[in-house]
Amino acid sequence: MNRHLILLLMKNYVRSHRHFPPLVFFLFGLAMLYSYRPNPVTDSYAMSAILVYVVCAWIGYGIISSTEETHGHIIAIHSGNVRTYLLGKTLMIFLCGFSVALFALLFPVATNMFDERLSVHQWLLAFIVHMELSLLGMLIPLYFHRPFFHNGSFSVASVMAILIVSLVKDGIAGKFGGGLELLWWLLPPVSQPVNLLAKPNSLSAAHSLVALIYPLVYFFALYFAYFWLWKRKR
Amino acid sequence: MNPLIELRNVDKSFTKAKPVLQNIRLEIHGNECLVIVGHNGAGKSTLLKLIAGLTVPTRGNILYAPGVAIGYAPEHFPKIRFRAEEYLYALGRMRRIPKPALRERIRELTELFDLHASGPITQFSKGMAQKVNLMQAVLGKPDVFILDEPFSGLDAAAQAELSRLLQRFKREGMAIVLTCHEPALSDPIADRVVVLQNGGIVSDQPHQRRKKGTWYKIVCSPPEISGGDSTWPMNVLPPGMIRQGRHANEFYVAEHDRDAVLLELLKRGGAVLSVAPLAERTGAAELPDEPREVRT
Repeated sequence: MNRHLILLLMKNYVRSHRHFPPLVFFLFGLAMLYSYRPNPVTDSYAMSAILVYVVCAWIGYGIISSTEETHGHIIAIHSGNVRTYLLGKTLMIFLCGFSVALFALLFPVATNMFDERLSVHQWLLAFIVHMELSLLGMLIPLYFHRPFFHNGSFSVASVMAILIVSLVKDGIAGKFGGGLELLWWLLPPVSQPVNLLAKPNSLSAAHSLVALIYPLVYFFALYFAYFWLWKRKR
Repeated sequence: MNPLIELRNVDKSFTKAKPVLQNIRLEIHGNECLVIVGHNGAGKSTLLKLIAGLTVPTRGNILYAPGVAIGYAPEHFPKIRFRAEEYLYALGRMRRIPKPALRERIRELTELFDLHASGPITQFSKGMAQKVNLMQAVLGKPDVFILDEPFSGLDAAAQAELSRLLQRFKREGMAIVLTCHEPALSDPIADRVVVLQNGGIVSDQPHQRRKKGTWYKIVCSPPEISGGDSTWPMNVLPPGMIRQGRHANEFYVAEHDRDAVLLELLKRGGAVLSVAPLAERTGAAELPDEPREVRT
């Protein structure tokens, strides 16, 4: 991958100042979450994973919005082709997401905020869930921009709606019964890994594995579908 | 000579409704300036994006000569928070141009375009931003230089300067493809003029510099709104611009007025069926014996 492409996109994003609101929200959220000590490890990490999910969607939306269409054309020409440009842009989004997720993981450890010593199993599980939720969060705004969406306000509202519904879909499905089975499968699988993180011993080994693997399958399916749909839309 | 880029029966649709471009057949050769004219919505910008590889055809093929490099200058240069030199350097590095060669190229272009400004591009005037736009497009010394409405929004002096620069690039061997609303602006550099109407090419003729004595025959039909109005297009064009042909829908136009007349007809919704130069051996003699003066 062309690192100069990612550097250019990163500079463009930072100079647009669109990173400021989500970062402030993220730091404020973490500060609130760890406003007292000691904290329970699994519950705290489950909450911080949800925070990472929302913040990553916000950052992803900002990165995509910071590049005007004509600017994208210029970069695509210089980077060789449109696919390289899109790949660079999505990689840059994921790099930002990983940084946010890593900070959310390391902050309580570095500041000694937990009530118990972190086990390797807990750390590994928290790491995987944070990374998964950052990927899912970053994935959403990709579908709510040009060439799929042309109305800015509508796309913001759609991203917010997807974020909220995906977080509460278990509750909705529980209330309305099996009729919303399709919704459960279509929306980002956020609740499964978060529940696994919050209550690690509540699921069987097989269910735990599904809860960890399904978000990744969902992410890669939609990530490749994004390129395929983009090509069709071009 | 093999073309640098060849479009073979290209269609482009964004929706299932009417295609934006239909059955486009076009060749782009080196050392040639191709000017694409047409009214708003004719598909000019889409055609440029297809040629640049920014969008793909729905049907048909676009063939590129091996190793052909493309430079693209969009109509509106983005307002980005970069200094001009910094932005060009970043794009050059993306193209993997070695650092010393890139610095030398940027210095060369800065002198050529006479751009000496240190602030961010967001603070640039339209003319200065257009210079950065052109500089980024020629940074990698492309074989084909594509420009979307490069003259739009520039004052007369800037237009003349741009025309001079484009002539220079053409002399250096670049193929230039540009869209233009006002054919007179591209007159000094145009080698070929392609007229687009409703997504199709209605005319693809070698351009001849403004001179009197060369005549073209235009066959057209009136727009739907004017129905069977027999005075169309005489009633919408300035007096003396065209002459009535032998048939009601045939007109003769002088070379120097051809592109302007075509644009005017397209703008007003008429359909141009064909544009053909009169045979050189007959020239103006092929015109009707007593051509009727155009009246409004």
